[in-house]
Amino acid sequence: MNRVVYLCEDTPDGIFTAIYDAWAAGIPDGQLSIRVEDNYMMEFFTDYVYVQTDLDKAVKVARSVSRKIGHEAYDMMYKASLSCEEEKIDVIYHFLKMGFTYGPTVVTMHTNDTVCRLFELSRTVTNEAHLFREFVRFGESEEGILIARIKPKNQVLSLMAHHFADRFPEEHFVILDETHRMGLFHEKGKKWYLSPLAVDVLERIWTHSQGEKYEDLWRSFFRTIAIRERTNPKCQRNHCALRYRDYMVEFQR
Amino acid sequence: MTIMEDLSLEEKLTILADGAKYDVACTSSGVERKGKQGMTGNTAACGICHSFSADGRCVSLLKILYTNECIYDCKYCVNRKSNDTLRTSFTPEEVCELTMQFYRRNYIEGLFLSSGIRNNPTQTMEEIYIALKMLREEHHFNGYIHVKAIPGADPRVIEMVGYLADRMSTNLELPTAEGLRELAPNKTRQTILTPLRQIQNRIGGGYSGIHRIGMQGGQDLLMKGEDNYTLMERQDNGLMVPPKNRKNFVPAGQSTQMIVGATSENDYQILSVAQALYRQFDLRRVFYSAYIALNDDSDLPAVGTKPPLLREHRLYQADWLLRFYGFEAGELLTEDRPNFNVYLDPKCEWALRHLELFPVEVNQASYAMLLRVPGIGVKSARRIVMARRTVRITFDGLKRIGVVLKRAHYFITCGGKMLYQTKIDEDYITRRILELDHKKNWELDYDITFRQLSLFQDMGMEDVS
Ligand code: SF4
Repeated sequence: MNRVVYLCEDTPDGIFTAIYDAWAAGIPDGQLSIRVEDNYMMEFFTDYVYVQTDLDKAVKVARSVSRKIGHEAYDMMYKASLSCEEEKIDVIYHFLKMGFTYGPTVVTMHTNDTVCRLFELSRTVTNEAHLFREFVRFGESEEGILIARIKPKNQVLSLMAHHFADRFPEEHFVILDETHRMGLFHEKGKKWYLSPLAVDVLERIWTHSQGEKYEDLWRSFFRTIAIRERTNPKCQRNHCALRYRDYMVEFQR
Repeated sequence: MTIMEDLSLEEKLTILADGAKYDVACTSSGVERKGKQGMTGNTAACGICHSFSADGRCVSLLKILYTNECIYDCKYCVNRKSNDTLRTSFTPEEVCELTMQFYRRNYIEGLFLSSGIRNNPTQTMEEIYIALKMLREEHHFNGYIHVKAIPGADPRVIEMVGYLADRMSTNLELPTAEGLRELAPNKTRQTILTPLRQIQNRIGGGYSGIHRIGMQGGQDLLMKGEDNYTLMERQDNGLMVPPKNRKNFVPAGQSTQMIVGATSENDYQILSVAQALYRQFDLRRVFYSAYIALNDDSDLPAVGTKPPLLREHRLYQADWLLRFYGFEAGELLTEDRPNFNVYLDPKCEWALRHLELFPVEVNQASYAMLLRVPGIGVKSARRIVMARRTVRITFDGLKRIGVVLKRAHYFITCGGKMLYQTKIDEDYITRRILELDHKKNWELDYDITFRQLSLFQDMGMEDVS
């Protein structure tokens, strides 16, 4: 029998739908892979199945994972699905198979390879989201909208959303993810949502008033607060890698 | 003293941030508070860092002085009366504007307001109160506030401030009363401990930064016992949910700071004082600040003396051992051996002096004992205990769990076997571990990779291992 490759959209919903379909089709492990459709190279002797993202199916997977393997497992799986690593779907799929066998204890199996990989994927995504919660910088447009831009490796916006929506209930704010061309939108008093953005739309939103007074004040503060006798650029770089600094006010100019 | 009127906001900010920066605490941790409709801000128990300054230290709060005028003359302080520097003060409006506008842009987690003493302690505390009240009530700021309790201020004002702040701190400055008398002639141990005690009583007990690693009933921490530990809730994330009636008073607890290397106190004195502060004053954090010789004074190290960063680093590690690993000051140091070997981390140093307890069998050792193995941190110890319920742990498994085997292998067995055939000999292992650490220490000493530990400790990101 030919190998079967399921190709799906690179979102949690797309991935969970693919898992649902593959599961339902009962394809033996050795012959199955699930891949993100964007960057997949076609091969011979392979059957391709294009997965139509289906919210109902995705929710079913999420529910049964939460119920049978537990919230922690679901949480890790969700975060892993946001990863930029290609192998993520296979890892999630194997983890789920183990999970349905062992139940919630699967998350304590720290010495197992699959569990370990899933932890790592989830941890990497979580860390990046955390770093962007720290390092993202808003500027204010003339209309009073807070606008920020980031260049993450993983799809971290949904993991940043709750934090900022909770923090700034009275603000209109937007965070633009230029890597995945996505925007996180929050309107004062309403729920946040994610929306894909065309490049020109993204750039148009981004061109807000620069060089405002508070950016200068912040740079002055930032320069002053460092203790000269302890100067340590290597340590600074360890904690705040150059790749995060693209849009950080204090590292500009 | 030159008091400047008519400075721009930027000039004031520069002067008043400059005067505040030697206070090392910049954590925004210890309280989890959700956002509220109509307000700006929330807080995260683990604390959030927003940037790293050129010295590699975390920038989490807008750390400023309310005023750098001061009637006192503490010898170690840049703001002391006898220093000829520009003096200025913020207005409450300016403090609010900077805090709110920086916060909205996600530059900061909140405000750290310290101050020199203008006219008298009570009046200064009152001015701080007015600024904080405006920030909370008129600007509806719901983010983090750390504020100094000024020794000698009227306790009623201190109490009022406590209801607006998340964390308060009063710096002990020097570990002994004699040291203080010598260098801070206007302060006494008593005036410093008074607000610490007052705030402690108001908060209520049980908030100390020392996390019991709970063998029940106060048994010996090193007792065998299979897995009968209790993990306190706050061991995970530093969060303790306070009972309702205490909720609004200094919910993130108190901290203090000691200067290291300005006077001749040894590590044992410093660590014992820290332990006493944790135990008797329920402090959340004690910070250590390597003295930076900026003032020319015959009672102090000469200007330009290199700050003892490596020593400071060891004290932070030891403090970490007190708080999370169940160690006591008296186990780590004694009057006969009052200082750490700066080239070894304190946990390693302890283990090397207690080789009779090692190696321990990873599949059987108690949680408390696992915590004492160099190379095993809190997270790894917990994972070991969890994982060994279902499988026998091998060296390979330990690696996956995150144990630093390079270091740990001298002290453990898996299934009765050590990883390599190794002599259990103090000199031998010490030498090998020093080789491992040599590069790191060199860098530390020359201040190349020094990391401000407090951040990582609060975020639980780094274990002393
Ligand atoms: S009281 Fe002492 S430590 Fe505080 S600002 Fe004045 S001189 Fe400095």
